[in-house]
Amino acid sequence: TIWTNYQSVDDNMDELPEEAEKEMVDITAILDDGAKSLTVSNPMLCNTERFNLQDAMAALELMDPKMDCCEIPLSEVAPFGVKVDGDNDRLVFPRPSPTGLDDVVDPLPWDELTNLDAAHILIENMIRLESLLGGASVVESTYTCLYAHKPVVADMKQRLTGPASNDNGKDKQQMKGTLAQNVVYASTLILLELTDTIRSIILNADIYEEEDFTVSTYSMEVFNDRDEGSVVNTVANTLEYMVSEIDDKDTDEVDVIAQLLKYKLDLLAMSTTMARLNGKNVRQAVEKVQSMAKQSLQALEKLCPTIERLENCKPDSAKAIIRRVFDSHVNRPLVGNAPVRAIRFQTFQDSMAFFVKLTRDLDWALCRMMLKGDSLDRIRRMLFIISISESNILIQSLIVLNLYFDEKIFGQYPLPALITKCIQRQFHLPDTIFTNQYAVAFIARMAKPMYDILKVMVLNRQRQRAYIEAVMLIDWTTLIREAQLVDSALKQENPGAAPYFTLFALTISIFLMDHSVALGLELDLFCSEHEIAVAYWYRDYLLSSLITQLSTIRQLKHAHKAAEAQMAEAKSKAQRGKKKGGKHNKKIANTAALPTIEDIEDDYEFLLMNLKRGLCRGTVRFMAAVNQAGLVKDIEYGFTSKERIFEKRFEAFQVMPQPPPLTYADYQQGSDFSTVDQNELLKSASECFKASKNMVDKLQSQMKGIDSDFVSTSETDLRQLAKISVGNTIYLAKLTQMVAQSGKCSGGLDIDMESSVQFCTIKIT
Amino acid sequence: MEEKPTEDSSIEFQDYMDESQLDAVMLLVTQDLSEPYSIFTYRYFLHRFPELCILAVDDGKPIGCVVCKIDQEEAIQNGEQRVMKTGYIGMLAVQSSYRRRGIGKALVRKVLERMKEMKCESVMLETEMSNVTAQKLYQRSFGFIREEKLVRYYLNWGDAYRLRLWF
Repeated sequence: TIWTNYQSVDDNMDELPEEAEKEMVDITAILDDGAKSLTVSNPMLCNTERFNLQDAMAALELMDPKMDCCEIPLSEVAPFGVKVDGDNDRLVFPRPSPTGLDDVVDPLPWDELTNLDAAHILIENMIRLESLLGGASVVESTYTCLYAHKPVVADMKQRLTGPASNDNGKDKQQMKGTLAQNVVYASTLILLELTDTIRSIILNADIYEEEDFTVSTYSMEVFNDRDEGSVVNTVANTLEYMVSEIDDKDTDEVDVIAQLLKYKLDLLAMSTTMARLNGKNVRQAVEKVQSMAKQSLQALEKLCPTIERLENCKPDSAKAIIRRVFDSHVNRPLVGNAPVRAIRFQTFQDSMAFFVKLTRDLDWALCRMMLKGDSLDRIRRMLFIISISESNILIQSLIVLNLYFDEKIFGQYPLPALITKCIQRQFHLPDTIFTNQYAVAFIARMAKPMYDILKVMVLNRQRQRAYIEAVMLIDWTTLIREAQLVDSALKQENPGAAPYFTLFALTISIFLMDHSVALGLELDLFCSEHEIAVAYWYRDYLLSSLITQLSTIRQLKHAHKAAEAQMAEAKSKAQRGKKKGGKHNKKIANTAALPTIEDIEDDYEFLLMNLKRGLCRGTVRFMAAVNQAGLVKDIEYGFTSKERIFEKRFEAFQVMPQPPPLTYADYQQGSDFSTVDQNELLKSASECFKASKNMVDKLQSQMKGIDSDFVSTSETDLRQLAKISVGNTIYLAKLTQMVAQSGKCSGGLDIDMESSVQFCTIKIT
Repeated sequence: MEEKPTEDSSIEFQDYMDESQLDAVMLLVTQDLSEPYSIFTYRYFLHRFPELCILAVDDGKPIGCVVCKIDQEEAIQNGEQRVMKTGYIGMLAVQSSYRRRGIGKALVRKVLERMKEMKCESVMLETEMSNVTAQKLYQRSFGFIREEKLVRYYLNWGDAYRLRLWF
């Protein structure tokens, strides 16, 4: 066995076969001469024009055990039950890739496989699949299952595939071998098929980053004598075989085998369906996938306790088999010589929890959004919430693939039409504005940037900020300028026209700026008390600008609606002379004044924005109060300054025409409460948080009357914000007490962001 | 060049001389580093930028070191692309028995002075999210800011912050 080979390798190291001795050339003298030519002052053996850090890190020392020889600790490959520790844990070569079931080095378990073993192998395969989806390469995840290696799969296929027969028009393979063997074969095939499908989806979407997904397959040879159809058939046949073979179907291992195989089939079907939608079958296909996702989720959640039971009672024989057939290091020589990432696998509990979330996200994040998101604002808000939920790269990729295809959003809505509808609804504008040639051209021009607004929400949170600041803000600066030209042209035709397109473009760009600062807080990039105060101060400024623009839009909308209602009323009055039509026109006039469901959603979002602004303002005042009380040390830096830091932090905003970019002097002026009485300042801060708490209460009660899918917050978020409002109020009271006792205080400060991702509780210690 | 420190009079600071000090540098750094570097990585830094490796020495024995380099970095400023010199702190290590004496801080200060003299506009480094001590040193003492969060940056899947100091 391989273990015997490892144990004897030290004894045999000095004894080479005669043939090998004859082929070897002693180059010691050559290396000696080369080394003698080096000096301490000139130690470089080679001269090259370009030798960068990457070359240096990838270079290897010949015969280095880890980097050149890819050796691993013996304890990593010791069989189950054999303990190797301390001085005995030497480095050894990984086992070679298996050449078949009857591998020369270590034959794989086959004839002795039981149904229980097969169930445990299935569970372990789920752990490997989770590792792939968690960012590991295929050779460090899927292909750590030795059954998945090409010669082994070919061997299994040859042993288990009988002649085909035609059963009621369906091609059916005659089943050979035991049920356990067929389960292992089917499980391996579907693991390979899922691996390829997942990779294909992620590569096509092309939004992955190195933390999500490893592109390289390291030239791993893959068993390709299969296709989706044949794999699905094999798994289906195995399930049928199980039904016919098993007398007692009510055992945990049978349940696990059946449910996990079915889940993998469903995951494959859902992924391939969502990756291949076309404009003709969108809703039907998505509804089908949603239904499948809900059923799969239910089945998976029901299965988890069964898996837990099975794993907790895993016999030693099964543990030994798992140890033999899953080898984390078998592909190590393929990965190359540079230091490699640690191979890691989750526990079975965490892996199952991962798949539960994945399946839930297929329903909630993907299907639900495609079926319900029918306007730009609704889609944007849904994506905002999905972004916070940290979906897996597979879900993110499927969202991007389906965001825009067949020249439509979700394959259903032409983007220019959605933009038109959005602007029209926001301002309550007539159709005539959108027939203007400049308006039509500008809306077409806005399509790609609007698509980017949606797509950026699908990127990893830490990548969104970089993309917004490096690319999107510059795009929208240009758009604002173009919007001003369009509005100018429209005003020439209609002197009463307001700058609709400019206002629309401005609200989007200010939203991006605020989102960028908010992400900085969420990612903990603002690391000192001073920086945090600056961030909230800037957010207060941006949110105030956004609220001002939105207020203007709302006022214009209200004015347009009032004008429309007036016209309808006038028309109705004129027609009231005739009995027919009088009451109908009055009804139209009244209906025009009623808010639509989307108007109510907009009002909700507006209140939410006011809440966030209130929290920012309260935080700024709280920090100012804390400074006044002497609880924060003012730090001066030798090599930089707060002004320089401010300039660099908000450098990306310099390109924006509106709101005007701020300087550190603006911050100093805006945050200077030195002329304000300490108690007044504390009271003012407290008022901000009390008002915020009231707004949270209002939002919580209003949420009951709104479809929660269409707002960019959740019950949980609101509870967190309530906690922060109350917490800060309490600590302000504490500080007020301290100040009343002694004026300048001694004590500490702890800025706690545990309760909410973007807002903090300032704890006085 | 030898300098006597102000914080601890027994410790002297010396510039890296040559290969004879390479082993000492490697030993100091390997003790604290979460990820392995090959000898070639050390040589890259030390041969290309010997003036940016400073050792803290006690009675002739190296007990701390800082190893750095300078890169040309492309940046976008006010919508325009330009190239700027950026310093990079690759390794900082102080022997455990010599810690909490300001030696690490002194090493960083000296190398920042040097980078500033060499016309760097900024200096950056990466540090593990869990390395609170390093973050305190760079952020509180020198004004480095957290520029970016690097998820799963290290070989052990750990996250990191990219820190940057703007001169």
